[in-house]
Amino acid sequence: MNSTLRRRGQLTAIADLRWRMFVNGLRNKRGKMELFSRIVVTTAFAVAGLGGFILSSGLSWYFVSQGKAEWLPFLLWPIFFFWQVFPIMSTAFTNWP
Amino acid sequence: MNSAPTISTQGLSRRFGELVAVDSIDLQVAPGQFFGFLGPNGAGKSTTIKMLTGLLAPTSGRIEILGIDLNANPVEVKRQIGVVPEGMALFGRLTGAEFLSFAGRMYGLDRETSAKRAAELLEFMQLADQPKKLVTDYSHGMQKKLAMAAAVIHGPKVLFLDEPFEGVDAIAAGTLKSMLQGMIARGATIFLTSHVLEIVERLCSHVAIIHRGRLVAQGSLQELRAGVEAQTHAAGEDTGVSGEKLTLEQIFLRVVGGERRTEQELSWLG
Repeated sequence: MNSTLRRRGQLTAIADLRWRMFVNGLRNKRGKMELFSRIVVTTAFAVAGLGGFILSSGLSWYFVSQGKAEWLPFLLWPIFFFWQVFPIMSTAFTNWP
Repeated sequence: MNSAPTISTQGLSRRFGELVAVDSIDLQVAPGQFFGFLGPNGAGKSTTIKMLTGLLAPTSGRIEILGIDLNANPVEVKRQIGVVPEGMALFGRLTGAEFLSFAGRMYGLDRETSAKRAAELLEFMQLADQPKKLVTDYSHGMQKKLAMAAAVIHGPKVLFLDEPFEGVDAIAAGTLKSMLQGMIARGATIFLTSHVLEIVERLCSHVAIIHRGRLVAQGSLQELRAGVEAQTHAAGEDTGVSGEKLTLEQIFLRVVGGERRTEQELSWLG
C-alpha cells in the first residue's frame, strides 16, 4: 500500500472514530443532555451574533440616513467594549475547573 | 539464520534535568527471544521502553529495531512493532470491535481485514460476548486484553509490553500468556517488563536487570544463575538454597542488592 493511500485510510479511520465516539456518547442521558445544551448554546450565540449584526447595521444606516452620523459612537463603543471583554469572559467560563 | 539483533541499543541514556533515569545502556535482544526487562521501582524500565518504542527521545545513544535506526526512521519502526504501554490510553467511548478496527486501520490494514481480525481477536480474548459494551465499562483486566489485542492486530514482528499482567486475573493472564507463547513460536520477539518475577521466570528465555538507570545483568536465566552462584562462591557465602536452583527472585535480589528487612518490626501493625 503506498503512503498516500495509507494516509487517506488513516484519516478516514480518524473521521470514523470521531463519528462513532459521538454516536456512542449519545447512549446515555448525560451524552444526550450535552448535545442538547450544545445545540441551545450554539443557536443562542448564532442568533445573538446575527441579531447584533443586523441591529447595528440597521441603526447605522438609520443614523446616517437621518443625518445623525455623530450618534454612531453610541453603537460603536458598546461593540468595542464587547470585543475586549468577551474573550476574557468566554475563557473564564470554558476553563471552569 | 539471521543473527542480527532485533533490538539493539548503544549507550542509550536519558536525563531529566539532573536526574539520570537511564545511563548508557547497551541492550541486545536476538530474534525470537522472549526477553524480560526487570528492575526495582524507579530503576528506569518504563523510560527505557518508552525510548525503545519511540515515545520518548533519548538524551544520547542509538536504538535499532529490526536493523532500522529508530531516530532516522521512526514511522517505519512503529509500523512493525506493537506496544502495550503501562497506561493503556484506550478510547472509552468506543466498543471493543470499533477500537480494534480503528487500531488496525491506523496500522495500515484495510477496513475489511481490520474488522475481520478485530472479530477474531475479540473471540480469542473472550471479549466477544457483549459487543455493544463500551470500553469505558470494561474491567481493568478486559482493558488489558483489549490493549494487547490492539497491539498485535497488524501482526507485529516485535512486541513491547509494559507490565501487561498488572491487575489481570488468572484466567485473563492465562489467555494473554498463551497468545504470547504462540507469537514466540511463530518467530516474533517480545520485550516485557514486569514486577511479577514468577511470570517472567516462566515465560522469558532471556533477562536483563536495570538498577538506578544502569544495566547490571543481562543474559539467559542459566547464565544469570551461574553468574550469581559464582559470585556467591567467590565471596565465600552460602546461596541459601543448597542443592536447588536459584529462583529468578533470588537472582534479582542478589543482583540489585535488595535485602528484605526482616529485623525491623512494626509493633503497631496487627
